[in-house]
Amino acid sequence: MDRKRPPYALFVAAAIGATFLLLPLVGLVVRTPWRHLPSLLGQHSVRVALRLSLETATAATVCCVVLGVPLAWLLARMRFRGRGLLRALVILPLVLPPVAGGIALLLAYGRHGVVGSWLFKAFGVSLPFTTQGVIVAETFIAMPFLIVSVEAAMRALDPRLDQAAASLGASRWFTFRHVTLPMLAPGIAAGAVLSWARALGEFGATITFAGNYPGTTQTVPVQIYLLLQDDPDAAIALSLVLLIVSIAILAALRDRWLPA
Amino acid sequence: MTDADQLAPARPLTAVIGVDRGDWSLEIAFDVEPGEVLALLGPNGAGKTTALHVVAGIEPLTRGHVQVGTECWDDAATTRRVATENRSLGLMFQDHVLFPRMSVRDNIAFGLRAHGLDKIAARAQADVWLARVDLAAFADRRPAQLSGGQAQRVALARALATDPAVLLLDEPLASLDAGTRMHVRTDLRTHLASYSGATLLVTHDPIDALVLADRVVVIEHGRVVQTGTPAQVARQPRTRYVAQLVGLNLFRGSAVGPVVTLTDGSQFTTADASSGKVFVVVRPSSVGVHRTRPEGSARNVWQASVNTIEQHGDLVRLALTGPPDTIADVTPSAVADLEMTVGAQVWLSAKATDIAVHADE
Repeated sequence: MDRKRPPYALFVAAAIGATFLLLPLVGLVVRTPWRHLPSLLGQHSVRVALRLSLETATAATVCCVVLGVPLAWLLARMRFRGRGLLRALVILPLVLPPVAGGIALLLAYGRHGVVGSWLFKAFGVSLPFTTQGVIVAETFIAMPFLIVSVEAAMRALDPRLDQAAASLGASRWFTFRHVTLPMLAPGIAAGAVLSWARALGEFGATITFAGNYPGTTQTVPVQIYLLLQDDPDAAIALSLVLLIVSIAILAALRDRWLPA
Repeated sequence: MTDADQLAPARPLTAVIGVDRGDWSLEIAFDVEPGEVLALLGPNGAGKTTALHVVAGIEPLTRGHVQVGTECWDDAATTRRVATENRSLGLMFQDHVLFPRMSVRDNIAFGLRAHGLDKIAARAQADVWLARVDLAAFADRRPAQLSGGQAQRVALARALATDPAVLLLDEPLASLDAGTRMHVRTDLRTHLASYSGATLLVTHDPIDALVLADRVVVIEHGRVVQTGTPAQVARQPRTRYVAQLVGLNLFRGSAVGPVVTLTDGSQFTTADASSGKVFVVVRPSSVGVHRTRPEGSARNVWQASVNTIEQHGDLVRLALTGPPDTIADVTPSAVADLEMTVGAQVWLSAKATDIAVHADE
């Protein structure tokens, strides 16, 4: 066999790529005002935003699981016309610019929106610029992550498990609860963690649909954006918090996403 | 359990099945009486599994009907179709398909729970079944912790636990290695004997069909080519394919070490020692046919008279009257050389190493 020359050009490009990706993280860690970190993060407005972010991201994740798992089941297990189109539309928020998503949400669920005007007239409910609106925006952006994850897990299941369950007299619902769901648990968990991370970092759709009212709609990413002008150190500190959360999530999912 | 469930086991299965799929079609009909085991035997792609799936309600009919007792499960004429979960059946797959996240006990209890039994009662019944298949000690294990043979026994218990009217076995031994297959086959035979419903066995292995079934339906290219008891099909194959597939000498007897004494008093010497009730399998092509008593290495020699001579393609099958009654495959030139005629007295021989012995309990 020929001893081939190592492809230096590839090494150089790869090194530049890695540096490019890592430098901002290094910058964030280096420039973090570590000494003032407790006081920066202890500020009332920061604590309020952090708490709102955690609560809305968690609520959005619950919505994603409750609505997304049945949707993934429908896409994976039912055969119907337009299934491919439905799947494409459902995962569209993965690639849709979040700001456009926020505009779309306003047009649908805003007070003058297609459904929103009816919601307001019938129930007096108005979603935009409320905490519920934040949850709606985050769910909209995050749910495709859960659907993709769960649908893949569902497709990996042996369809004969369903046949075996049916042959034993189990209805589809009984089978879903006792056979399918337990086997999907790891896929659902991974999808939920991804959705939660995505919801926690959501900015574009949230600020467009829900605005930036401190205490009700001002989540951490929105606050970071606003703080950057008045209090850059606080913005950096909050960014560091989000970075640490992201690293924790990668560590939690390492068996699934980072094969050794 | 409802009254219907309790009455379920005493109903015959009647199936007239027509399925079209592109340029392939399946056209078969069969009945299975309560307590009877019917084998659908044929090569891969013959349509056996499709037939089983139609009975299970997993695949639809193009023509025909499936009926159990007076209950219609599927009828192409009326487009009436009972969903799989509402058919009183048990289904056993080639590889167990146990529910991986449940204990062995809960796997067996699953059908009972789906039928509305509470958890405690279902688990208690599952334990009875576990004892019956000798796996009581494995109740709390997960399916992944079982051997292939154990998993198939659990799958059988799971399928029978709801006391179904129809038991469907889809190549139940095909995924097991040879040694395990023998044990599980013996187990299966015992349990099928005490099962009062109709059993449909799909297999490509003639030994499964001959050992387990009361009647055999041979399918080729989606059509029935022969129906009969295992002995009938083995002794009088209608096509060369059936002759090769089903043509086995199957003798029952009891073994002491390497010597097997058959029920008719004749004896076989085998290469491996065994004990108790056994059946002995000798391929027709392994039986030597001679005009005079052969001198040589064959350990088993017996006399027989030629009963029938039938040609199937390039081989000739002789059915001979023993004891024991035997079938032998020879070439057409051998028939000429030996001046073989009906009624001729001949000597037969078989090497000990060409004789397979299986436990028969």
